[in-house]
Amino acid sequence: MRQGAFRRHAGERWNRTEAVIAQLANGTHEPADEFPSLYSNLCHDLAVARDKHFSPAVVDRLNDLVLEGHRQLYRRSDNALVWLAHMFGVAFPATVRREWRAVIVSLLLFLGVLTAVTLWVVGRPSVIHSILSPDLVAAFEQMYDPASERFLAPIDSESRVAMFGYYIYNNIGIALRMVGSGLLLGLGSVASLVYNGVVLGAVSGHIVNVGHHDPFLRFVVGHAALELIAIVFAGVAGLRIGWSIIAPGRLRRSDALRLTAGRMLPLVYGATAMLLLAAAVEAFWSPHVFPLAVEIAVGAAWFAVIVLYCLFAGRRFAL
Amino acid sequence: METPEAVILELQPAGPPIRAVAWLLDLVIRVVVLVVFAIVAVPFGGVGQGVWLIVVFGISFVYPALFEALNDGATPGKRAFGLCVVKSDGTPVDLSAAVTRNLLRTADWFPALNVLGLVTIVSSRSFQRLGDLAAGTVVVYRRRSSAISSIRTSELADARPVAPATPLEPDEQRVIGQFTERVVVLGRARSAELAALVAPGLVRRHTADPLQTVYGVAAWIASGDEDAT
Repeated sequence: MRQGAFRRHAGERWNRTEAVIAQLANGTHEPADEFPSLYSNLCHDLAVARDKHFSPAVVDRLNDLVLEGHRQLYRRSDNALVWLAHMFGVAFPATVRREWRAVIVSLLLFLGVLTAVTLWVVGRPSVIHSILSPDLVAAFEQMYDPASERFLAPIDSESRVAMFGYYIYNNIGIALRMVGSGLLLGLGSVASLVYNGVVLGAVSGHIVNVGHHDPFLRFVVGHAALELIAIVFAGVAGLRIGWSIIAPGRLRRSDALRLTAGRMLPLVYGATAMLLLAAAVEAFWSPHVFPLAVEIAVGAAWFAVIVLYCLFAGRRFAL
Repeated sequence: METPEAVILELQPAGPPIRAVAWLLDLVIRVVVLVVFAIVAVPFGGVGQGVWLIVVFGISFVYPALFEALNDGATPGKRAFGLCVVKSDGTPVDLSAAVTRNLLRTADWFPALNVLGLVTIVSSRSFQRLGDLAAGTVVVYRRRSSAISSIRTSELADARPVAPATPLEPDEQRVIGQFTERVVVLGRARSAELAALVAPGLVRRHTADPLQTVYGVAAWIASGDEDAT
């Protein structure tokens, strides 16, 4: 068939296909009726036009149409609720269980370092000054000073919202950067885990030393489990992404990276959700002053819920 | 790239300069949104401050991923420059791919000013940065820049289609199309000089003006109609 005849023969159909694709793109067309057959005809036409070396004007137009149609045909439409239920009911806890080795490494790098530095600072109080600047030390001392005004007057709801925003911005930012910097052979994540462990450990140790541990504990205990474990999980994602580049196994490095990054996404979503929850607890629950026993019980309950969730949620379903 | 329908599709990956420009436009949009929110938030005190910080977080981390996942793979900046993100197999990006490629942006900035990102972009075959490699995505032009179909100069529209003496290969057709596009750049005199070299062999009866002849052939190609004479 010559090009002119070809165009006259199929031109009307191409226009129709173009119109249908445009409708699909802006959502005014019901999918799954005539489009698939139009699309397969279009693919056929493109193959014919290429094979017969028809002019670029025709081939380019068909190529662009096929490209656009390809996009519409292979568009995935997932139900958001189903996705959420699967993500937090199955995928997230199952990924935590599957990556238990990396969880232990991340736990040691962050909470292990945190505990060690706390004990070190408590044992040798002068060490704090070689870890944190004097300004920061003073700021933290003042923050948890039982005599400071925030423990005497109740905090107004306005600044709670401000703190909520700050915790989201700061903590989730730290967690997401921790994952992203895993690409630098995991070194970025290791550095971030250790750095945060050292700073938090130094502050905790110093607060104990100056005798402000009661308000500190009261403030921290409510959200500590959520926040710290979320950071550990973000660390796991970063470490595994880095490790996939160092030791890709039988895969090419780029393939190993792609597979691992996809597998780590539930941890990213999970850590983000935990930090959102932690920010809400930290901003709206932690500033309240309840009897110490109640506060510790609530903190312990959060811890127990997280551990049980990670161990048992979604066990019946294969990932 | 081959589709399940066994058709080879050509995708044209976008290089660093245009992506940088698209990124800059996005940056401007983001900054403007933040400033507007800051101005609106001031009268609301602590609540405004909290909401503003959440917006800062959203703009820095959620904005690109959300747009790419929901807006056919294009942030407003990419859309403005005709770019979009697709998976390496040409299918649209989904949420996980969009999140992955934007999550791993952090590492691209290492050690400073996107150096690592640029190095990986230029060293990968289809201009993929690390985030793209991890997500299995490519940034492509929404439509390929096709020289022939984009000539819409008035002179060409006026030219009467003339069929060439011998059938032209697709590459030769492209050259002629691109030549007519570049007439503006080359200048009329030089264009006529060049056209005079090819015009005699190009058609059977060539007119006095060689440039007009080439325009005629280009118009014939653009019309895509072999039967016109």
